[in-house]
Amino acid sequence: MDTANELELVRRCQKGDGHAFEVLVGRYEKPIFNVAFRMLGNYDDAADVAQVAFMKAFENLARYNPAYKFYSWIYRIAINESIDQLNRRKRNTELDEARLPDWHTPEQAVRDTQLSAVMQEALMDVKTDYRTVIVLKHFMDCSYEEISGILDIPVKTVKSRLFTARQLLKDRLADTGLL
Amino acid sequence: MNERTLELIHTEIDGRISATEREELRALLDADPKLREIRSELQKLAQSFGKIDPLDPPAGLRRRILDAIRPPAKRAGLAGWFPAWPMPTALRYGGAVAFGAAAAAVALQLGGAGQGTPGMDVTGLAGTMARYQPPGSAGDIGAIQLNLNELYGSITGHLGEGLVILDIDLTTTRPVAIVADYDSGALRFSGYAQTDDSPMSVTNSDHQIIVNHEGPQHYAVFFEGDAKDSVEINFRFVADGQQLHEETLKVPLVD
Repeated sequence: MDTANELELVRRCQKGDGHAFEVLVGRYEKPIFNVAFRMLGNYDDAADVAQVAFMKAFENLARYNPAYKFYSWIYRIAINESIDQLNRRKRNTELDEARLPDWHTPEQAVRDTQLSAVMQEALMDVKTDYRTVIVLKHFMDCSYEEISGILDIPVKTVKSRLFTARQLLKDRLADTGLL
Repeated sequence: MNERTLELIHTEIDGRISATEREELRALLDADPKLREIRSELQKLAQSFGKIDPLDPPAGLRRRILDAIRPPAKRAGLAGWFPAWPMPTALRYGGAVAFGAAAAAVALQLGGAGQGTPGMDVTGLAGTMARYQPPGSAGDIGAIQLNLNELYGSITGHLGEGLVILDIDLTTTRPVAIVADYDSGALRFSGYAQTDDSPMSVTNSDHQIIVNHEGPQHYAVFFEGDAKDSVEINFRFVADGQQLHEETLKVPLVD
């Protein structure tokens, strides 16, 4: 889908065309779910965050600035929601053990390849800022400039975080036989 | 190995290296076997990302999303309930869940979560109902009075238009978390409204809301009800990981 088509869809959504939003959901459901999953390491939480991200996007369509690409905007919402979810985990851990992160469910083990699981574990080990740039660069194929726009940070910072993040992941994965 | 060398390796991995930089890197690699090893590991790392297939979202996620933005017609009942309530003098509405055109038309000041949105934190999304008042005694379904050292006040239930409304007016002398467990098959969390703009954190999961309290707070929490019979909401009051008290509010048949 090109940018012009996407913008047209957004305009139709803003005029109340539910079908247009359905098309956007169809287009971005999988990427947004994967952004959330790589940020959170939990299948169910990722689904919840994806849902909330789309709901927020829908609610805030009037505030969408067409100068930016739609995917940048919705990725940003998904990243922010994921970070909020991680913060909630920290707050609620003492109150409800059942909500602790759990990315090793039996169903997920079937779905995930070993590489994916090992990588996810390493990802969850690095700070959120570093994980975010890795997810956007290597799972969403965003450029430095796109990441800069999504996270609203300078390109120089994107590069610095990305390089550090890769170093950290490399070190964490060194003993796994993956590298 | 200095920072510049590492930057060159990463820039090469990202396909952003210039011809000049490539030459510079080649010279460095030729002179340093350790550097070649690091470069090789980083290249393998970068390649390994490409071998990871994206996961398929759970079946039904799209339906959940679309259902959430086009909720059941029943939610239009909200519109019938709220016009009688005072309109806000201050609005801190960050974009709550769509409740449908009818509900939106009355500028409903709710932080909310649609059906099946566990874990949604509505902090910052709630409208501030600066002159919010509970709807009198109409539709009262019972109340819990609390008079503990750490916690005092009331939780009063109201019922109407398919909504269960908990009017929570409590003061705590230290941080207390209110954990409300409910039957998610019978009730769906719809949001909350504050009487002021004090900092407030409400976390909703599939069957539970948690509100972190400190000092006096007055707000309303809304549920949609599907109960065919009565349903119970169990409240636990927790401070420093210790349960201070427990109460249950029995909610009768939802109309």
